[in-house]
Amino acid sequence: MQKEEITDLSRNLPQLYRFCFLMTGDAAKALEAFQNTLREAAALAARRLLPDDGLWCFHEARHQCLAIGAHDVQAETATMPKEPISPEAATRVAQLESAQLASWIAAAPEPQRSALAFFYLNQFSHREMQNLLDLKMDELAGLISHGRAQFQAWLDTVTDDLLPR
Amino acid sequence: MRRWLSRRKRALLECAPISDNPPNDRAMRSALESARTIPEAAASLTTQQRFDQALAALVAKIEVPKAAEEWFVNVALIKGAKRNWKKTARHPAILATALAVLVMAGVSVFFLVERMHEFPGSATAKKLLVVAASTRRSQLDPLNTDAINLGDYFFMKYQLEHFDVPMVLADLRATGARVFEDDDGHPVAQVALAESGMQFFLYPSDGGGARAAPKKSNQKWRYVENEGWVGGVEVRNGVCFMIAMRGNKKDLKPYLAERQK
Repeated sequence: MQKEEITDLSRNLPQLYRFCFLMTGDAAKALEAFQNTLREAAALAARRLLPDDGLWCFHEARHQCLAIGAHDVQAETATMPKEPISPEAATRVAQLESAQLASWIAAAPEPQRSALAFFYLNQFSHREMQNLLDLKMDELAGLISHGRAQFQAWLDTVTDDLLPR
Repeated sequence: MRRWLSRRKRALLECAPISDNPPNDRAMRSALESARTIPEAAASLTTQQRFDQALAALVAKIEVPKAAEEWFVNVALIKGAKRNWKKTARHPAILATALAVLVMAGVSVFFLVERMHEFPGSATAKKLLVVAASTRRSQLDPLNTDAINLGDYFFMKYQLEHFDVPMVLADLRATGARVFEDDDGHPVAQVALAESGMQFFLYPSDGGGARAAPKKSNQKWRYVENEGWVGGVEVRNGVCFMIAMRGNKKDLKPYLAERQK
């Protein structure tokens, strides 16, 4: 995956909002986390303390999302059903709305929620995600792998009736 | 299905890039290439990538609200501070590394300077200064002769070759002498002088013994200090000659320089 190194904050903003939306599953909370992140960036920039680092705003946005969601109902750590990825999964996913995906990711426990949000932004390399989440490679891979299988199981239940038989 | 791949490569494949573009990361490229050589793994990877692409497409469809878009204009003013060399130098990791290098350099210089002051027989010379401080005149055999005769004396009485006193000190009067063995069993000759408090020591320079083959002479005086005593050492023919006196290098050096004239 060839990605240009993103150093300019403005280029990251749409993705930053999408990340907040995936993390919170709610447009209002996503906007609040997004704005808090940019206010913090502005405050640091005014003191010339804002790091020249493309990952900083996502790191901060994750922190803001976690802070906003701290008082919400937390996801259970109970084992969720899993299914191997089916070849027709892409067809089933096409029937979903973005908000449904965001709600599902936002309901996942940490740090799986953050790992899936970063991964499906399709912007970061695995090393950048490890850096952002402070996870080892095996841990990151496990979170994404389990997330896929769990999402597939959920996908099977919500899209069964929609598929042509 | 992917059991033919190493654990590391399996982990990398779980995080495989969603797009079909080749990754920049070498390890990831290697994992993908390995997976594509195994039909089952390749099929599994293709299914995974289609699944991920479908989800990523869904994420890309997330619309950014106008309230968020308003930030797009102003955010150009928010710029990260470029890290200059001063800021970089103040980073704790850099400071710690620099400090460690300085300490190591300091220790190296200390040992280097120590080594520069060392010479064959310097360790023995320091020990003999302790002996000089604790020796009583009664422990020595009485003598009354010029120092120039000591070489013959030690050779005739103890068969010690090259235990000669340098010519610059040959006119001093010896009043007592003895030969004993140091910790390594090498012979050491000790001479008391009429000149107040001064002593001579003669001993093999590097443990090779007085009978070792003569080495190239080194006429330069080297100084050692220990327990309030100072010694001036000269190595000649594999034998160290040391003149010892109470005091420090500043006392002995002018004395020897004067004798040299």
